[in-house]
Amino acid sequence: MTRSLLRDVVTAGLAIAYVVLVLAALLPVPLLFLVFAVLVVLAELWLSRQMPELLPPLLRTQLGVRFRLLSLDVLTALLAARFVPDRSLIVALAVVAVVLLHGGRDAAGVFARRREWRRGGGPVSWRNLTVRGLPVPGDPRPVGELSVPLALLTLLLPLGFAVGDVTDRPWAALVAGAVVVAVVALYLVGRVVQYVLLNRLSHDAVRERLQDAIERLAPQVVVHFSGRRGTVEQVLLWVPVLRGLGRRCLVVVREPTHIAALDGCGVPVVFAPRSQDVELFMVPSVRLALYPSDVTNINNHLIRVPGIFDVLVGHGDSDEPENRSPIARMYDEVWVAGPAGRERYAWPASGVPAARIREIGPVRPLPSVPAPPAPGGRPTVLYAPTWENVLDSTDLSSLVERGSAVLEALLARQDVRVLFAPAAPTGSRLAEYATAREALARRVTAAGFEHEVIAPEQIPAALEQAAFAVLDVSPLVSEAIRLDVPFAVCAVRGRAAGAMRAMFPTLGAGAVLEHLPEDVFLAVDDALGPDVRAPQRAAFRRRIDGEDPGGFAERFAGAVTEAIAAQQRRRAFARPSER
Amino acid sequence: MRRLLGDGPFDLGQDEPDLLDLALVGVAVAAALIALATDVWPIALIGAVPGLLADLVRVQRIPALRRVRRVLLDRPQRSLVRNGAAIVAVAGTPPDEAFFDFAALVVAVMAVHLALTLYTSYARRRLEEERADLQWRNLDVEGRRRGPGPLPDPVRRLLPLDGLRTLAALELLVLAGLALAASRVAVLPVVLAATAALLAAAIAALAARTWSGRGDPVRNTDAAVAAAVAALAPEVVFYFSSPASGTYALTVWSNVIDAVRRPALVVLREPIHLDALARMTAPIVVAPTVATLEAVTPPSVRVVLYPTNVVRNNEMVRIPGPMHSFIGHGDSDKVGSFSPLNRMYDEIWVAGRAAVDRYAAVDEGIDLSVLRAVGRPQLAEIRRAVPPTEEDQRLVVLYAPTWEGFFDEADYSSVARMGERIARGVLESGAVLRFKPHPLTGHRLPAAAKAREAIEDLLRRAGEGSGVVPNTPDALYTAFNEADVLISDISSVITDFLASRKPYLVTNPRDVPDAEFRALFPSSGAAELLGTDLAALPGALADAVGTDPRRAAREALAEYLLGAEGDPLAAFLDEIDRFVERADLRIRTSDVPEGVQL
Repeated sequence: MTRSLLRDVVTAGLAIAYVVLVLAALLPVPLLFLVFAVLVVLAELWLSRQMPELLPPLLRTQLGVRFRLLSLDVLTALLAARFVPDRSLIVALAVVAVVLLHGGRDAAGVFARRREWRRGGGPVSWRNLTVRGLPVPGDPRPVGELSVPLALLTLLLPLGFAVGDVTDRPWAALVAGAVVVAVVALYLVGRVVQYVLLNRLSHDAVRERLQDAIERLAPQVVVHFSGRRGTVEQVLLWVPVLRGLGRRCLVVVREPTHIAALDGCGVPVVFAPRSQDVELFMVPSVRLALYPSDVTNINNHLIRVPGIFDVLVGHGDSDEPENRSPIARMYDEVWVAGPAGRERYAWPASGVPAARIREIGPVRPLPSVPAPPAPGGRPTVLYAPTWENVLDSTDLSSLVERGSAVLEALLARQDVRVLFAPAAPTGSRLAEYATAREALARRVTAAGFEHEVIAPEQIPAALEQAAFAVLDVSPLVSEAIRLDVPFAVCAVRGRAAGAMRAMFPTLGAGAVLEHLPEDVFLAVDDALGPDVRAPQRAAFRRRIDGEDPGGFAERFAGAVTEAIAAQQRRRAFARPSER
Repeated sequence: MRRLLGDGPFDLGQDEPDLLDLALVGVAVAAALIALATDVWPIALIGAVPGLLADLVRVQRIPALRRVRRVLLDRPQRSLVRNGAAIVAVAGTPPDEAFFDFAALVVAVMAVHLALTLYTSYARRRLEEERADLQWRNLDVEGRRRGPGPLPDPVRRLLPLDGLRTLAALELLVLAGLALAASRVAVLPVVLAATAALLAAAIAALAARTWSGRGDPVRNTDAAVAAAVAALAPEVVFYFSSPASGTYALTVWSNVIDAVRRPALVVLREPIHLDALARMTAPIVVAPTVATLEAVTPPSVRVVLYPTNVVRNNEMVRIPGPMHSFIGHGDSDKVGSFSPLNRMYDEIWVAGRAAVDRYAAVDEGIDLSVLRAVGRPQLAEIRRAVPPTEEDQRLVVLYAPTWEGFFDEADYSSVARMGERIARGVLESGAVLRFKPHPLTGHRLPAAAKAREAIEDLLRRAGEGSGVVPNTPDALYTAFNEADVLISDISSVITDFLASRKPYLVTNPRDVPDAEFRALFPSSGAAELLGTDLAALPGALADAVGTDPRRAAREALAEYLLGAEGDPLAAFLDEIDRFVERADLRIRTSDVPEGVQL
C-alpha cells in the first residue's frame, strides 16, 4: 500500500470512528462506544509511535492527537450524561475524570521531557569534564507524544459504562470513574514529587558548579562553536590541533546537537545555551577565543566579553562569500591557511585591515599514504553539492537547480562509479532541498552497480579516492585542489561560466559546467584522460596552503602564543587588576 | 513562522494561551459540575458564558508562562471543553430533552470547531504564501504611503467582526439552543443549531475561497517595496534594532535624520518602533528578516549609521559595499559604548575627545584611527551666549538640580541641603531665578520634597520673571537658552549646558576638596564650585556678567566633551557627506557586483 493511500485510509477510518463515537454517545450505546474507543486509542498509539508523520498536516497540528483525545474525553462525559441522566453523581465524576485525564496526559509529556532535560545536564551540559556534585550527563532520549498507560486509562470509563450497561449495574461506571480519578491523582502527585526531587538543585546552582569545574580546569584557549545539526565536523577538525597545543583548552558549543559527537574527543566540552552562560564560563584564565564558524550572530555573545583575544579560524578554505565578509572585522584577527585566504580579505569592501589577517597553513592534513584504489576497477566520480546555506543570496548549491542533470549525465557514462554525497545540513532551511536530496538518493540507489549514496562524514575519504568530482563553491573545491583531484563546478543562478570564474577565482583550477550534459562528459573525459588543469591545481595548491603546509602545528602554536601575548599586553595596560 | 505570534498584524487568537483562559475553562467545568450536583441546568450555560465572551472580545493579552504552555488549552480546545461541559451538564440534568434537538446541537458545536480550525489554517497557509514582510512609511509603494497592513479578513468585508469572533459568536446560538431544548421548547433548538452549523460552514467556505488560488491575489508587496527603495536610491541608512523599551535611542536622532541632505532611509528591524516615529518625515521600512534587509539595501547605499549596539547589527554589517559607523545615542560613559563588538564598524563616531580617551583606556583591539569626534547634533538647538543688548537687563539664573537617587551613594542632589539657600542667595543678588527640579525630586527623601516646595513657594512670591520651568520635553533646552548662568549638580545637565559655553556653577554638597572634586567629575572642570557654605555664590554671579575668568576653560572643556565649535548639526551633516565620499571611494575600488549581495 502506498503511503498516500495509507494516509487516506487511516484519515477516513479515524473520521468514521469519531462519527460513530458521537452517535454511540448520543443514542447512547455504551458497548459500541467502548469498541470504537478502543479502536481509536489503539490507532492513535500506533500512529504516534510508528507513523507520526503519516496524517495530513491539519491532523498533526490544530486537530492533532491532543485535540482528538480531548474530543474522546468530552464524548465519554456526554455518554455518561446520556446513559445515566438521573444519576448526577456518576456524570459529575465522569466530568472530573476526563478533565483529570486530559491534564494528566499533557502533564505526562511535560514531566517526561523535563526528566530527559535533566538527564542531559539540565540548564547546561558538559562532556570530558568532571563536575563535582553533579551526575554525569547522558544523552536525552526522545519523548513520545502520547503516554501509553494514560492513553489506555482513557478507556477505563467507557469500559465502566459498557459493563454497567451489559450487566445492568450502573455503579460499575461509578467505580471506573473513581479509579480513574484516583490513579491520575496519584500519578500527578508522584510526578510532582519526582519533579521537585529532580529540581532540588536550582539552575543557577548547576551553572555555578560547572563554572567551578571550568575554573579548576583554567582553560587559556576557548573554541566557540555554533552551527546547525550535522556541522560538528567543523569543531572536530580543530580537536587534534587543540590536543597538540600544550595549553588547556575548552570547547563551548551553543546547540545541544553537537554534544554527543564530542563525547570522548579529548578536549573538555560545555554546552552554553544562553549568552549569560557564556559570560559565566569565561573564567579569568581565558585569554584566546577561536571561532570555527561565522554564519550566525551568536559569536557576538563571546566577542562582547571584554579582555579576550578573538580569532576567526574558520573550517577550511573556500571562495564562499563568508570568507571575505565584512563581519570578519569584529574579530581581532582572522587566521587563514595561505595567500589565497589572505587575498580574499584584501577586497576593499571587506574592510578588514591586512594587519589582522594571519596565514597559519592548512588545518586539514593531507593524507600521508595514497588512498586505496576504488573497488571494481572503474574510476570513482563524486557529486558532492553543498547545502542551501542560511540565505538565498549566499546559496551556491547546485542540488535543486542542476543536481538531477549532473547525476543523470554521470550515470549515463558506463565507465565510472558514481558517489552521491549531499552536504550534512542539506534541507535544514528549505524543504525542497531535502526533497531533492531524497529523490536523487533514490535515483542513485536504483541505478545499481557500484553507485552509492555516501554519508557526509565519508566525503573526505571519498574525495581522496575520486578520479573526478563535481562540486559546488565550498571548502571541498580547495580540498580537491589540495588532494590533486580533477574537479568541476556547476554554473548556478543563471551565471555563465565566465561570471562564475570571475566571482570565484579558485575555479581557475577546474572546469565549470554550464551546458549539461555535454560539459559533464567533456570534463570527465579530460579528468580520465589528458587532465589539462593539473598545473593549475598545483599552482592553486601553493596559494591555498602556503609554501609550508607541513609545519601547521608549529605555526598554529606560534600564532596562539603571539595572540595570547597581545591579549596580555592589553590587559596589563587596561585593567591590570583583573587578569 | 512569521507574524503569527506577538505583534503580528493578524492575530489568529491561538497559541497564546494564558492562565486567564485556563481559569475561564475551569469556570465552565465547575459550573457544569455544580449544575449536575444541584440539577439546575442553567448554571452550566451561565458558566460557559465568561470564556465565550473572552474569546469574543479577545484582545491580545500578555503571552503565557511558556513552561506550562503544553498543559494549557488553545482556542479550539477551550471551546471544546467549554461547550462539552455545558452539553454534558444539560444532558445529565432532568428534565430529559428530545434526542433530536440534542444531536443537532452537538453537531453544530462540532461544525463550529471544524470551521474555526479550517479558518485558522487557511489564514496560516496564506500568510506563509505571502511575500508581505516589509512594512513601509513615508515611501511611495504603488501609490500607497504606508503598508502593507494586516492580512485582509474576508468576514470583515461583510460584518464589523472578524472571522474568529464571528465563529465565537455562533457558539452563543448553540448555548441558546441548549437552553431552549432544556426548557422543552420545540423546533427552535434545531433551527438555532442548523443556523450555527450553516453559518460556520459558510465562514469556512468563505475563508477557503478568499485564501485559495482563485480568491484574493497573494500579496507580494515585498518586491514593490524593494523597487521603491531602489528608486529612492538612498545613500544614507539609519539602521535600528532594539527591544521596545529602547526606541528612544532612535528618536533622539529624529531631527538629524529629517535634516540629512542626501537621500536617506530609516531601516527598522522590528515594527514596534513605528508608533514612536509617527512624526518623522524620512522614509522608513521595517525589514524583519535578513532576506528582506538585503532587498532594501540597494547598491546606492554608501553609509549605514547605527544608534544601538545590538546583535542584529551583524546582519547589516555583513552586506558588502556600504561603510558602517556606530553613532550611539548620547551618554558615552556606558559600557556598551566601548564593547569589543564595536570592532565590526568601519568607523565609530563619538561626541568629543573625552570618548576617544575612554576607548584608549579600555584597549579592546579597536583601532583609535576609526574614532571620529563629530559633536552632539542633538544639542543643535542650544544657543551660544550672546552679549547683552540692554544695559539694565537682569541676570537670569537657571537652577536645575538633580534628584536624590535611589540610594545615598548615588545622591548628587543639592536640593535638600542647599536648595532653599541657593534660591534666596540668587534672588537677593537681584537676579531672576528659574527653577527646574528633576521630576523625581523628593521621591525618596521627604526633606528633598520639603525643600522643593519651599523653593517653589519662594519663587511664587518673588515674581518678576522668576518661576518654575514646566516639565515638558523641550523645556530644559528652552530654559538653557533663556538663562545667563546655570547652577546645577553633577548630572548630564551640565554637559549639555556646556554646548552654550555660558558660565555655570556646580554644587559640591559634600564639600569634597576642589581639586579632588574636579578630578572625579571632569565635567565640573570649568565650573565655579559651590560648597555648602555658598561662599562662592555672590562672587560667581558677579564674575559671570563681569570678567568671566573661566571662559577659556569652558571652551576647552566643551570641545573635549562635545566636539569642536560650531553648529553641531551642520558639522554632523558635513561629516555624513565626507563619510559618503570615503565610502564611495572604497566602493569604486571594490568592484561590488551590481545586484548581487555577496
